Amino acid sequence: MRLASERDRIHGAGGEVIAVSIDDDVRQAGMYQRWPTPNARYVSDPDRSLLIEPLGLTDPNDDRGIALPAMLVIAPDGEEVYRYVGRDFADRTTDEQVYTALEGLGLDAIDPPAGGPDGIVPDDLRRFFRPSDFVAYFKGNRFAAAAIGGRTDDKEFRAIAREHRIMADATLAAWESLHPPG
Amino acid sequence: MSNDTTGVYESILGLRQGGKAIILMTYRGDW
Repeated sequence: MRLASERDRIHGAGGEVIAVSIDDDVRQAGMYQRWPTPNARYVSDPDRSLLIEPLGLTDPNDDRGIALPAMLVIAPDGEEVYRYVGRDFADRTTDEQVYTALEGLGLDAIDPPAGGPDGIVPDDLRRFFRPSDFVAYFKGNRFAAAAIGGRTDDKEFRAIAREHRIMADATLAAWESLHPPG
Repeated sequence: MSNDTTGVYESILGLRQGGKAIILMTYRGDW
């Protein structure tokens, strides 16, 4: 969502966004139908053999073997020039370092790619996360992080709570930029 | 950090098109 809101900046710096998960391509298509993230290409890796495992991004603490939330910047010559890997499924910090790494490559701008998933959108989307729940979900994250951070004097723990609150704020801001009120 | 992921990038996905860089993100799924 946050990357989608910065797509002009990304394409201007010669980058394309690839989003990878263990969802099958139908699940990805349904999610994309629910809340499109323009110009991002979706890749399904249900058994993790395509990208998630080779890149060392499997969450070792999840029974389903989901991917940890990661951000990699890969240069045109294949070199990985930036890597962020979250500690758990919800650990996704802000993205400024991604843009710094991308822009540091000094590439020419590209035309926005079509993006989207490969699968067919299912007829029944009732089991998919509703766009109307998105804001409430991340506001809940925000306020919970603020409350939990206030329950301790441990500086490291407070910093983690603050980081999560900032993540929620950034995600809400991205949502609003893609879905202006009114 | 500078890990060479060329093999994964080229042989499995074949995503390279011209001089593009890739921002590869993973997400938990099941949304």
